[in-house]
Amino acid sequence: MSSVKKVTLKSSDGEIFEVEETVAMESQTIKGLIEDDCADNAIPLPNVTGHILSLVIQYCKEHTSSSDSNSSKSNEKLKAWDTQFINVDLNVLFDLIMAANYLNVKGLLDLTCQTVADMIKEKTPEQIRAMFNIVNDFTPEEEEEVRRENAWAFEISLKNNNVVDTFEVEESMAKELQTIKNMIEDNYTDSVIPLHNVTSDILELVIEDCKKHVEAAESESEPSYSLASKLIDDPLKA
Amino acid sequence: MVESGTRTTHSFGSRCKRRVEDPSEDPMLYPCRKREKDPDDSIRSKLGYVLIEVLCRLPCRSAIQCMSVSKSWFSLISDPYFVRRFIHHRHQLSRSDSDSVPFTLLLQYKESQKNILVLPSDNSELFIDCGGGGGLDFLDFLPCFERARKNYPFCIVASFNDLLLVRSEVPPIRKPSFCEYCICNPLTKQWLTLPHLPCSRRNDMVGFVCDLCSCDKEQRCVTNAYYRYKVVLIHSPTETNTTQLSLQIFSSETGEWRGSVVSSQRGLNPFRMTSLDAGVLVCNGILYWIDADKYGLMIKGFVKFDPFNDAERCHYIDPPINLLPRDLMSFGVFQGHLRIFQIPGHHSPHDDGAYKFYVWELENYGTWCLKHKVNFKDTVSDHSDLVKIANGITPPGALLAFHPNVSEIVFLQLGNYIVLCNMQTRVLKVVSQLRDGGKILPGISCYYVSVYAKSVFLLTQPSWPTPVPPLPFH
Repeated sequence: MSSVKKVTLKSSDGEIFEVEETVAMESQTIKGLIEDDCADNAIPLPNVTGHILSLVIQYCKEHTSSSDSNSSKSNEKLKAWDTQFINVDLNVLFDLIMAANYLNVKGLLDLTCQTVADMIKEKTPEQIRAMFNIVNDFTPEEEEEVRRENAWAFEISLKNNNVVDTFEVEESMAKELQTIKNMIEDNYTDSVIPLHNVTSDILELVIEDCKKHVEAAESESEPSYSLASKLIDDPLKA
Repeated sequence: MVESGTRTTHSFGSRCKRRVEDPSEDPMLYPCRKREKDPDDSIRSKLGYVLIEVLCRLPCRSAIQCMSVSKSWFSLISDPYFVRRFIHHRHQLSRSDSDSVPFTLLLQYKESQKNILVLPSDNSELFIDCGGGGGLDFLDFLPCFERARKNYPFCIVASFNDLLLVRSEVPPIRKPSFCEYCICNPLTKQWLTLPHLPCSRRNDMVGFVCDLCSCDKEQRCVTNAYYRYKVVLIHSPTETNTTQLSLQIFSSETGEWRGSVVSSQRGLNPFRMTSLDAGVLVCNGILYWIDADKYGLMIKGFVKFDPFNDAERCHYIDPPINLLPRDLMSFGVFQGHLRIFQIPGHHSPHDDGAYKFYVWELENYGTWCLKHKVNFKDTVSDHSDLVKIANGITPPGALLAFHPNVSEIVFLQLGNYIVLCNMQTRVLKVVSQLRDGGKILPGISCYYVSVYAKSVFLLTQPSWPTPVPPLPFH
């Protein structure tokens, strides 16, 4: 059958795209225009460049054909295609978000926003600033206050396997333990770090010790090595 | 009048609504049209535009951590509009997925020793560190906590979603005694105290109920960012068969306590142990409590009071069956329905000595429906103590709470064990054991700790922690 309805889309930089109507209707914005009979001539899209529009059309093509009854695209294949598709640089990614928002393509908006969210999720505030080149306009006191007001969100929980005792500790303290420091730096994404080899009471002692080390480092009163020797002495006495 | 705060009393930015002007970043409402000479610059401006959509898709903790990135991010995330958008986005995701609401079961017992037992669900993010001693230390961010340290009366009296209502009393030393109620969120450590009340000599019960605002009328979802609340102090009737009930109600809308008299068609009796130990239940924004006979031994029925929509009167609900002496009955809530847990006592010589329990649910039309029936003799467990208790000569278990997500699962206390019971498979599983002052109590002993229903709190965790006080309406 050759009479497949097509619509014409014109990008902000004058590129023309001829697209099947079903594909174009993945965009709720365009769908609305078609249904209101405003789509006889080329539909101008002044907020989307040709490069971005071609990507959006690619996405729509892929996702329309997958909802065809004839299509054999499985969900996994579609997900794999999406992952490949979204592997673009940050500038393009943001342009895609804005285009998906403007053209109202829900699936693409979810995909693009979730991708950026996943990038942010694993990063510390310093890393987020570096990634998006944001200037930190907080003074150290102001930043500390934000952290303090929302302390619960900044704490990591160490969870013991045996008795399900969880200890909430400041990240700076948890980093005293090299193992945990490595986990954090490797972007361990769970908010609870299970420690299978450590019982609750030992973990409590270890955390106490870390606290002392961190406090000593901050106050610069006692050199930290003298604290370590204290702890070594204690178990002999205990 | 009403004081509130978080851990520090002076807070930067979070209490004031002014936007911080940041010349290097555009607010997200005004997309920048800079020339693309500096690629970093354009990323920054584009991010400003799409930030809300991106941040909504972060886990709650990460979104809040992002407050410390920059001042404009801080303004964005602390803005009530963002919180509303965040919550609503979650609603659209979880249309079908109501099975995994995280929750924490919190038990408070032997108040003088301030014992607390905390049972979080696997996906709960609320970690309450009771310390080795199992105490109320997790509330030490409250200003009234110093009274607990001095051993003045201090306890949790009610909960709603992820909020707790705490009461502390100051005995008459130099000034007259007074009673202070405090609403707090144990996760975010935000709190507010209500105006003081004189200590009442009467037996009172307290109910705490919030009315959440709708975030989308069409989709019928509610947001906990904005809500109004009431704390209802119910004074015990002083005589039997009273038809007028005296209440004191604190309303968030007025910011004051007001006395109120409520009429009841049925005569109500003074509160005694049966009513006081069960406390007040909240179901669908309505308060329920037990009305007992004049000796306070047998449950006659349940009183129902709607402080938001029908505050002039209370109603009466008869139990599903007539209760006899030695029948045990307690109540709970499951997904917006009132449920009753009943263990019939042994009445006739024909009883085979086994104890059964029944779970009834109040349907929408006011009729009771028998949902589950379990004979303790038929229960199975790989824990030998539970088997002993289930086949014992005294009523084996007491209701703690119904599992918020699964209809057939119920939390029971058997001996000094906290047990999960699946009412369909009849499997009993130990989830915890009661402690006293940090020491684990023997599961079977001649000494059982009573955990009263009024001190069982089922905290549910919403997608965004409930702010205390509620965010201001725009």
